[in-house]
Formats: sequence, C-alpha cells, structure tokens
Amino acid sequence: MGLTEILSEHKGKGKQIMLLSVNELKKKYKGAALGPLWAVIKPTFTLFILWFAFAVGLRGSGDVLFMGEKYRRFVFMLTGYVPWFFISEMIVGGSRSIRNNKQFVTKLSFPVSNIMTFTSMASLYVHIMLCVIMYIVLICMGYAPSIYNLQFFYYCAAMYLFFLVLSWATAPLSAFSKDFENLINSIITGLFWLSGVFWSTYDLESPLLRKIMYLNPINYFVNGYRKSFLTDTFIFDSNYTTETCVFFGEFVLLIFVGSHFYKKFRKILPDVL
Amino acid sequence: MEQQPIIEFRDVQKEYLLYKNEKQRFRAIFTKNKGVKRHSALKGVSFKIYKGESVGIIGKNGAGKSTILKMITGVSFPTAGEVIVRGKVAALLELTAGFSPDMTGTENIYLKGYLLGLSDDEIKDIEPSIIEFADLGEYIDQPVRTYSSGMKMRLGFAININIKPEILVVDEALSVGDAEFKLKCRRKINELIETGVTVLFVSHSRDAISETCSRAIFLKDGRVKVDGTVDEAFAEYDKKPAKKKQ
Repeated sequence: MGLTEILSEHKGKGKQIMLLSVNELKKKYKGAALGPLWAVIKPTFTLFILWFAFAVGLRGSGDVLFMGEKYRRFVFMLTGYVPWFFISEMIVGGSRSIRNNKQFVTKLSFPVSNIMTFTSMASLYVHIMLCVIMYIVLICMGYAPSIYNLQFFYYCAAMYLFFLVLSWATAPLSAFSKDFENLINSIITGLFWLSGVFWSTYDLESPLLRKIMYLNPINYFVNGYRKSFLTDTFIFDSNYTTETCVFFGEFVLLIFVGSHFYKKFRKILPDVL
Repeated sequence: MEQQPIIEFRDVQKEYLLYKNEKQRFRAIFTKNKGVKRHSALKGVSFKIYKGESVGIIGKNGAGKSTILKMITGVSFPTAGEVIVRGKVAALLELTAGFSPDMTGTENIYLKGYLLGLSDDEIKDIEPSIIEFADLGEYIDQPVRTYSSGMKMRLGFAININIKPEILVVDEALSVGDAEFKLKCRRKINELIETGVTVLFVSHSRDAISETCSRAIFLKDGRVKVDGTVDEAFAEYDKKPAKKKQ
C-alpha cells in the first residue's frame, strides 16, 4: 500500500529532512540581505495593511458576528488570515514541490515523498513565526492568554498533516502535468472567498448552508484558530461534533487518495520530469 | 555454494511513454495511457555481476546504457523484470546533483552525504579526505554558488569517490577539471578497483575499457548482444559500421 511506502521512505531520515527544510528557506530568499527574514516580513506587512484597513481606515466597517458574539473586524481577520496564509502556501507550494526539486527525482536515488515533507516544513517555520507575532498582538489587545490557546498546537499539527497528505497527490500530479498545477493555482483565490477567512461560516442564516460549510476543511482550521484564540471553545465541543466527524472522515479519505496517487506516479516521475 | 551477484538484471524491460502534447499528458491522468506512443529502451536485459568484477558497458547512443545505469543507481525503475543491487553505489555521473548553491562546501558535504545514505559519524570520518581531494582551499567555506563549474565537479567527485562504495559507476564522457585533476581521478579510481570494489565502466574507448575491465557487455537496441571478454565485445561492436557501408 502507498502509505506504508511513504512511511518507510521517512524512516531514519529525520536529520536529512531537517537540513533540507532549512535549506529550502535559504533557497527561497537567496541573495537577499535579510534572507529568510523576508518570509516573515512579507506576511507581517500584509497584517499591517489589514490592521490599517480595518482598524484605522474602515473604522466604521463594523464588527463581525462569530459564534453569536461580536468581534472587531481586525481581530477576526487576523486570526483567519494567519492560518489562511499557511494553507495557501501549503496548497500552492505543496503542488509545486516536486517540480521545483526535480534534481532529487531525476538525478539521485531519493525518497520522493520526503520532498513534500521538507518543503512543507519550511512553510511551517514561517507559519510558527507569524503565529508568535499574532499572539503578541492578541495579548496586547487583551484576547490572550487563555488555557484554550494551547489548542493551537492541535489545530496547527492537524492542519500541517492534512495539507501534507494532500500534497502526496497534488505534487506528483502537478509534476506530471503542468495543466494540473495551473488548475490548482487558479482555484486558490476562489477558495479564499469560499472559506471563512473573511466572513464567518458559523453565522450563516441558512442552517443547511452552515452544514455544507463543514465540508470545507479550511473552515475547520480557520475557525479552530478562532476557537483557540477568541472564543475559548473546546476542540471537541459537543455543538461541533458533526464538523469534527466530517473533518476526520475527509482526512482518512485523503490519506487513501493521497498515498494511492503517490504510489501510482512515484515510479514514472523520473521518466517524465 | 554459489556467490550472490552484487548486481542482477532479470529480464528487465523499460518503456518510455511519449506524450504527443500536454493535452494528451493531462488526459493520461484519468485514462490508462491509451493511444500513447511508447518507446522501448530495454527489451529484456539479463546479466549478473559479481563482487570485485570490473565490467565495461559499450554500445551506440540510444542502445540503453544510460537507462541501465539509472536503474543501478536507483533513479529509474523497470517497466517489467527485476533489478537487484546489493551494495552502496557511488555514481560518477551526476556529480553536482543535490548540491545546494547557498550552502558552503562543508555543509554540502554533509547534505550530499545524507542524500547518499551516510550517517553523521561516517561523514565526519571521510570529511578530511574529501576536502583534501577536492583541493578547494579557502573556498570550502564559501557558498557553492560562488564556485566555478570545475570546482563544483571536483567537490562532487571527491564526495562520491570517498563514500567507500561497494559499486562504482563511471561514465567516461565525464570531464572533471584540468588534465592534472583528471589524472588524480583516474589514479583514485584505480586505487578503489584494487581494493576489490565492483566497477561498471561506460565508455566508447577500447583502450580505456581494456585497461580497467576484464569483461564487457555490448548493448544493441536494448538487448545484450555480447556478454564476454573485452575483445569479444569490441569485435562485435566494431563490426557494425563496416556492415552498414556495404
């Protein structure tokens, strides 16, 4: 089965993956004086713009209703945008990872699934740094600390694993066909607006629509961050059992699909890249 | 008791899929490569190579030499049949593959070492001999992107040759630096051969092969035409162009 193949490819490769993930960060910002710091500066700047737009400029834009309570637009956006930035990076970067690291496939005997692991870990470092900045802002604004903040580690880990598994399928497919890569790039903007980054999926008027939104795993993570940092809601809160079950169902399904595609394409990748 | 071969090819076939265009390629994700042209690079290749043997591989361009080497180094996989390799392979083929341009020479020794499956201790052991062999001076602590192509090759060669391989794959077409360094490489390869390492040598030159190899495999159109002494293989290899002229 594909999953056992992927797991055995990772066995004893911890050091190698760590080294390559740091290298991936360096590579992205090579030649720049501030180096990998750019990975944090860019999204921080975006956060600054968010703050300026929603807390200063559009002061009258009002509050957002989230889980029945009103939150300032800026706080709501901050807790949604930080995970979203990571998610979009994981989806787009994950699908490109094999093509960007072609030489590992065509010139070396390298466990290809490790490519997805080390590239995604590079994104994870950036995300964690951003989360630290976000947390400082939240403390300053009086939303944190709280014991529920620790749930961050669960949501962050789940989010990382979910999109890593997704890339098991998307990376080989994108390496095989450039059209598939373009397909992914073109749906990403749509995903932003369909997901609850900018608006609350929990507070839709139609109960049916609210349920349908459970199908989008991005909502699970984005709202999970808000549950951890804003509303202090437990991960397995009984009001959200359906959502949790839907997510885990999708996750298990994705593991099968992802490892299936990985296995299918692994051996022909050196020939087509 | 028969000795186990260190490299074994059992009726190995390799087909490459030739997609007409990107559209056909995209469609192939969902269909099972129907109507896609195939090129058969190997049509049932079988041979065994035992520990300590030096085998030359000869053949025209497109005969399947590279495909065989890629399978031995574990980069490519057969469409049918079985490839068994029992031992650590050092390939003097893609010397600079896996280098990270933004890391220093020393960091790259570790990176490449990991990629070749060595542990920290093993790399530490061989690090001095790599640095000495590559002879890069102060550049060893500079990022690899500042290296000239010759320097990169030298570092790549130094790493590959020093990992204490059990199987050494050498492609003659490889050019490493100036004449002096080439001689140094040749000497190092011969030194390794004397320690009993198994060598696969790809070349067009009869002299080079008969100097190092006792056995040669002549490939033609994806099949093993001759598997015997170097003289036998070259007799067949040289015969070909004469026939064409008639």
